[in-house]
Amino acid sequence: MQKLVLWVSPWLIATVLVAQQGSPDPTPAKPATAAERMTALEAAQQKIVADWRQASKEAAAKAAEAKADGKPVPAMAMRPDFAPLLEQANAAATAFAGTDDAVKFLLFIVQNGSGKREAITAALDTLTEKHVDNAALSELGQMIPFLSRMVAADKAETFLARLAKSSNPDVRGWVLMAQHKAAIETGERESDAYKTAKMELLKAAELASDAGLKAEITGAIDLREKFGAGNVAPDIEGEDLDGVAFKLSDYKGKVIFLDFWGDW
Amino acid sequence: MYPHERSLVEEMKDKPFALIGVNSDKEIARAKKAIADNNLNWRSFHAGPKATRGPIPTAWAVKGWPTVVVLDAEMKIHYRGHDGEEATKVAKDLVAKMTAGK
Repeated sequence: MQKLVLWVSPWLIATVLVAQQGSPDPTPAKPATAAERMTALEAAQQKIVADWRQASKEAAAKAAEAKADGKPVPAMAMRPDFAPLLEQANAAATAFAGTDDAVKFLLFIVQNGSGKREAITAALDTLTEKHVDNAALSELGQMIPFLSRMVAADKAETFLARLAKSSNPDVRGWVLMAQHKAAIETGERESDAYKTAKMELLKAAELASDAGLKAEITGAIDLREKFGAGNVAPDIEGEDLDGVAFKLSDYKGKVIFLDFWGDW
Repeated sequence: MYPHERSLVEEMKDKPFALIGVNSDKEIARAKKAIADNNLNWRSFHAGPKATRGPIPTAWAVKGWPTVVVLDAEMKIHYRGHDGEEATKVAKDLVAKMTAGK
């Protein structure tokens, strides 16, 4: 909220000053720069998250009350809704159309689309048609395997084909990851499909500069080759929550139920 | 998951079975509070201040929580996934095989 006020106030001051000076030749206010627009967008987003947190807290309290009274529990919004920001992001993308700045706003729409298929489709269309060589597109990475759930199947196919032709190795690597995901996860280890997928992905990891992509590739292959059923697990050497050193192999000879947990 | 795991540990306490955690909370205090509040009865490694991106989850390529891996007495992997009930079944079957005829 504070950020938003900070951003708005120079505008208010500037407007008031211009009005007081009564400039005879009222030139239109200088349009906001891309950075200013992004800051405003992020501030508005933070406000939505803060409001959603507050609403969730209140809803949880009400739900507990309703439950105690034996009444039906009201529904809660599972995640903040950024749909109200999409128009603002799209206006900025249009204002800077064709430039690297537009890419940031289009990515914002794809990443925060809150299920608005039309807006996401339009943004992806522009990104993959006009900006496919832009390195920032590797930010789409984790989403690329799920494009067909975000937009219509034929659109997903078109976008994927365009991304595959990007001159940026990270973008192409993410496309390969999407294409080979199933083969690596479930393909027969001895099959050609598995071997080809592994070879192409390792090559893509070598060419990549995106650390997230490298980790995704080696993680997927490790998951299959080191942690699939039948493999002997690596040992763990660490400390327990009281700081006492111990090893997983201290429990060798027993059946071990290893649980990666967290309290969140 | 807490009640399920707690009763599993309870049920298997005289068997060749160990439930070992890799706690992936940033703050150890948070994990300790969960242990105290829920009477958790198993030993955990701490994944370190980088939490879910710490060295143990990274080395084990864990990206979803909770993840359960079931190992036999030779530390061979028999199950890896996110289904606590399935993991429990696999672990109990392994224990049953080990203790059969004893």
